[in-house]
Amino acid sequence: MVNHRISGIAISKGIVIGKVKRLDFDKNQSELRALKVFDSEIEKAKFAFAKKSLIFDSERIIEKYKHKEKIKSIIESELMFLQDEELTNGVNDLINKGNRCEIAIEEFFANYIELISNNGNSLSKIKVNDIQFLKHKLIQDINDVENDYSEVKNRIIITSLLDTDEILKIHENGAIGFATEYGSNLSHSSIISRSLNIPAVFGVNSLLGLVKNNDEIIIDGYLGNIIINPDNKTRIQYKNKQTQAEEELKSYQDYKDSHVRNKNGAKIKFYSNINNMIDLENTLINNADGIGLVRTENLVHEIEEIFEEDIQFDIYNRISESIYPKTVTFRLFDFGYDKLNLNDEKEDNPALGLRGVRYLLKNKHILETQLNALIKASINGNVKLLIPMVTFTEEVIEIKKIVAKVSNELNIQMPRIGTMVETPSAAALIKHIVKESDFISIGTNDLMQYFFAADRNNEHVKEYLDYSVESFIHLLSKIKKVCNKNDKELVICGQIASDEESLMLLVNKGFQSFSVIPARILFLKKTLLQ
Amino acid sequence: MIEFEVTVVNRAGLHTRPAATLVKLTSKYKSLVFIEKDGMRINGKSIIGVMTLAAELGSTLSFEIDGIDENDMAAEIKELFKSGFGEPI
Repeated sequence: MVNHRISGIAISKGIVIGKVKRLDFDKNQSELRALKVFDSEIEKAKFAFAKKSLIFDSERIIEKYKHKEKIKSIIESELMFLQDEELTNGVNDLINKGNRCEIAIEEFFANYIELISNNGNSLSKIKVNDIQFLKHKLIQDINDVENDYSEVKNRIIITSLLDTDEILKIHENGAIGFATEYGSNLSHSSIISRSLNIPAVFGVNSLLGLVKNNDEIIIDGYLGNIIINPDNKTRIQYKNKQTQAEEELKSYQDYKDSHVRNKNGAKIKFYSNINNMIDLENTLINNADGIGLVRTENLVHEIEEIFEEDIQFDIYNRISESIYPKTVTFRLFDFGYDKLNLNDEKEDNPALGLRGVRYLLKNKHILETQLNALIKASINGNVKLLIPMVTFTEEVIEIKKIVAKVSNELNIQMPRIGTMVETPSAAALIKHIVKESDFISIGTNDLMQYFFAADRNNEHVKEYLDYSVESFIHLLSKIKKVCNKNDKELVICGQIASDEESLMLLVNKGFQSFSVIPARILFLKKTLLQ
Repeated sequence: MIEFEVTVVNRAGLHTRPAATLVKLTSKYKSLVFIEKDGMRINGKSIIGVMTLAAELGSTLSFEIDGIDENDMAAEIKELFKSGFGEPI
C-alpha cells in the first residue's frame, strides 16, 4: 500500500516521518499457539489472577475517587464486567477447548464485539471503545513483565491504545511519534503527549490492520492524518511542511506582542477559532486577543459526551480558565450538514436542512444540557455564547429565553449572547437581530455559500465563492454599518479572514475584529504590518 | 413468575452507565431475571448480557422475573426505566 492516507483525532501537534514499531501488547498469537506445553488449569489460574489484580485495582480507584461520581461510576461498570460470570465462564470454556488464556480472552472479546457491533446502532461505538480498553488491560496484566520497549528508539509507535505509563516509558526509550486505534482528545494520555511535545494521532480506525512493522509512516499531528508508505513526492512535501512550520514559528515570534492598527488608529483584534485542545495551546502561544469561536461540536468525540453535562463542563471550564482574563465565545452545538450529524432521517439537502439553531430548538434536552455546562463555566466571567445558523430574529429571542431560564435556575448571571450571521435572511434582518444580540459574528464560509448558491465543498463551483466580489463585500459593509450604529462588536469568522488579500481589503473597509485559526495569527499580523 | 415490558426513554439509550445501574439493581435481589429483545434473551444480572442488547431510545424490553422477591424487583425496574436512569429524556 503506497501513500495510503487515514485520519484520526489530532492529539499532539507536529509532523514526524519514520519507521513503524508496532507494540502488540496482545502478544504474537501464532507464537503462543506454537508453544507446546499446555495445561488448562494453569491457563485458568493465569486468567483468574489477572482478573483478581484488576478487580483489586478497580476497588482501590473507587475508594480513592468515592466523591467523584463520574469516575467512580465508570470504574464501577468495569468492575461489574470483571465480576460477570459470563466473562469467567466464557473464557474458561475457550480455555477448556485448548486455547491459551490470552487467546481465549482475545476470542471471547472478539465474539462479543462482533455481537454488539451487529446490533449496529450509535451506541455500539461507545461500547466497543469501553470494552477494548478492558480487554487491553486484562491481556496487558497477563503479559506485564514481557513488554519490551528496547526497540522503540527513533521509531513511530503504532498500537491499539496507550495509557499514561506506557507513553512515559516509550518516550524515555526514544520514540518519536504515536498513532493509536483508540483514545480521545480528553484522555490523560493525550495531555501527556502534548506536554512531551510528541506528534500524536489517536482514534485511527483499523490502524493495526493497515500498518506493518518497518513500514514508513508520516504522522501529521496538526490535522490528525497519517500517511502509510508515502511516495517520494509526499515525503518531500511533508518534510518541507515540517521545516516550514518550525521556521515560521520562529520568524513570527517577533510579532507576538506587536499591535496592528488601521488608518484611523484603531486596534485590529485577532481572535482564534478552536476545534480541539491543540488549538487552545496555539491560542496561548500566539497571544491571540481571545477566542472568537469554539466549535463545540468538534470537542465532543463520543455521543455519550453530548449527554454528559459534567464532561462538557470540564472542557468548557478548562478553556475559559486558560484564556482568562481574555474572553471566549462558545458557539452552541452546530450539528447537522457536514458536521456531526445526529438526524435520524437522511436529508436530501443537509446544507439546507436541520442544523445549527434549528436542530437545537427541536432537541431542547441537548440544548439545555449544553447550556447548563456553559453557564456553569461562565462563572469565570469571560464566557460569551454564539447562536449558529440563525434565519429569523425569533430564533434569537427564543434561545435568549432559554438561556435566561437556565441562568436563573443556576443563579448565575446570564452570559452575553451573540448571533452568527450566516444565512442571507439573517443578513437582511440585521437591523432587528442586532437589537436582540450583544454582538454579531459573521460566518463567512456559510454566508458565502448561501449568498452565491454555491456549495463550498464542490470543486466545480469554487470560482463562484469569491471573497472579493463587490456584492459580497457590500453585504458585509452593510452589516458593519448597522453594528456600528448600535455599538455592537462585529467579528469576521471563516476563511476570508485567513486570506491575506481579503483581510487587507476588509481592514481598509474598516473591519476591526477577526477570528482565525490560531496558527495563522502571527503570519497575518506580520502581513498587515509590512 | 412475572412478566412485563418496559420502554427505554432516556435519549442516550442503555449505554454503559445505565446498564451498570440496572445490573446493580437486579443483583440485589434473589430472584432470577431474564431480559428479551428482538429474539435475544440474556441474564439480567450480567452486564455483558445487558450491553449486548444495545437498547436504544424507544426500544422495548421484555422482563421475566422468578423468585421470592420478584414483585419488589419488578417495581424497582419499572421505576428506573420510567425515570430514564436519571438522564436527559
